[in-house]
Amino acid sequence: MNGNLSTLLKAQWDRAIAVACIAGAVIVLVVGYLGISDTPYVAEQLPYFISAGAGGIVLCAVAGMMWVSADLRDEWRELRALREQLAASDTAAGTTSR
Amino acid sequence: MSSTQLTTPHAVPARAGARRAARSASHDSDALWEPGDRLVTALVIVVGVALIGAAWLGAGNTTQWDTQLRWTALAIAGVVVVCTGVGVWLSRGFARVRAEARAVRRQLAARLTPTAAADISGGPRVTVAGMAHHHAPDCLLVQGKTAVPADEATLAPCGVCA
Repeated sequence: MNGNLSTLLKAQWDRAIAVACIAGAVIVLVVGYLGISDTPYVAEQLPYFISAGAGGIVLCAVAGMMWVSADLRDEWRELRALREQLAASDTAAGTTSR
Repeated sequence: MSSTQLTTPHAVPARAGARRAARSASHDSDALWEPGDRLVTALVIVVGVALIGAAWLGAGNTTQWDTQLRWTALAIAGVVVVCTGVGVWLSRGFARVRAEARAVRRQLAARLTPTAAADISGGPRVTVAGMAHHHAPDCLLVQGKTAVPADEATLAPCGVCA
């Protein structure tokens, strides 16, 4: 079980970071909401808005970046492999591909 | 590849050609993003987070509305900086995947028939003196300009027609 999890994390480290960032964003936003709702003074609310609000947005952005990066990497690897296979078979057939 | 092998227009300085050749060669590496991309994105994100941190500390140290508003604006600027870094990172990744997909399409098309290859690739790639990219002959960016055949190995593909 632990072995499977660590293998999964190693293979999908970028998606794991994305999920961790989303979880962190949820926690940060909830903490910010609690902090803001705990005081009626705007001067005390603004630091929560800045740290939790902006921090939550940044974490969401990084999570999206990591997830889309993982998709792009997968696509890149497939295209790379396909191109190498084509080049190899072209070479084997004695033709020049590029 | 040395700059003497370039077939780019002679108006392009040799040093810039060598830079492009090095960049093009690095496109063939196994990594989707180059170390420079990683460094720039990491730096931009760190700067954005630092701006947010500074804004948080600044806003927490005062109760004056005007001052706090200025710190809030700084925090928003930090978010914009982070999002810019994310956008640059993703756009570079998308551009390289598009270029790779185009190369695969051309290889596949060349296998089928030469006419299909010409249809898919849009014929030989061209460039204009001073340009850093190669374009399809019908690309809007070379319309009305004196286009010459481009060396695809030393120039980056156009982001519009590639």
